Amino acid sequence: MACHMTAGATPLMNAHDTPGDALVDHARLAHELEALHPHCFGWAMACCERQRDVAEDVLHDVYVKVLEGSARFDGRSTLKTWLFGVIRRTASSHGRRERLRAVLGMREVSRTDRPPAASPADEAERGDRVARTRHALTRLSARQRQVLELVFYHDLTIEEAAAIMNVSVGSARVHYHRAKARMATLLFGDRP
Amino acid sequence: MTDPEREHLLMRAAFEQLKSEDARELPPFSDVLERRAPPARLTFGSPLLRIAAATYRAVVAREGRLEVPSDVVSLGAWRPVTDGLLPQTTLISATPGLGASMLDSLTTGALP
Repeated sequence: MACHMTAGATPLMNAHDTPGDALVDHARLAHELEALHPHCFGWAMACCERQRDVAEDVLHDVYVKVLEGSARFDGRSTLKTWLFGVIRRTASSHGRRERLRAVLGMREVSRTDRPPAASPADEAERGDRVARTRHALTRLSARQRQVLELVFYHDLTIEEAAAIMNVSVGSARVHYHRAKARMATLLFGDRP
Repeated sequence: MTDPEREHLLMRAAFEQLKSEDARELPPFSDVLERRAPPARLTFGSPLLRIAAATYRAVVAREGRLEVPSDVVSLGAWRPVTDGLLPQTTLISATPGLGASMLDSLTTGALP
């Protein structure tokens, strides 16, 4: 996998003197992942076109990669930024694999263990607004969607978004401004 | 407050709602970690199976059609339709000698 992973010393995955050190690092890494889990889930949802099952599959793959050491954090960015990059690449390859499976006619057995979505009446309006936001996001290009999610949903800077999306800052800025204008039109019309 | 500022705030509010909606559906970390993807299976509607079935029907099930009919002429008896344009069919039945002209041999009848 081509991401910012090197075999060098890292803040979380150092060379271990004893097996005990490895266990401590592993536990620490798992703890860090758990702390970032809500953010990772939100980003995985964004990368998987808000398909929950797919997002969970991608996230599972990412966590396993990180914990097994096949994806290594090299400390050149924050753990969250690096992890988001891994999620984006994993979701991308997962999407390619799913498209190939669709061509070959291979289908995954659908999961039926999902609890039904709660639908209290007082949440209808809020649900409608969320649905409108989700729908508006589907009208944007993948890059535009990603940069908006990273900036508005995850409170990252455009520079951090560019690093995660693996594009130049200038390109990310262009995607951001175009996406914001398009999203505003889709959500609020010509004027907010 | 200017329009761009207001737009920015409204956009942020829209994403905040999306975020809180995702938070409500957040699966536990341990569930995601222990998650096992279900196996991918070939379904009956799969294009791959349909192609295989069509190939079977075209080749195996109609195998009788591949038999050569008895009235088909053999390769040895076949003659090209342009045969009639040649003055003699034994034009190059013998190899001309080295340095000899084939045209001469046609006019003098040196070749058999």
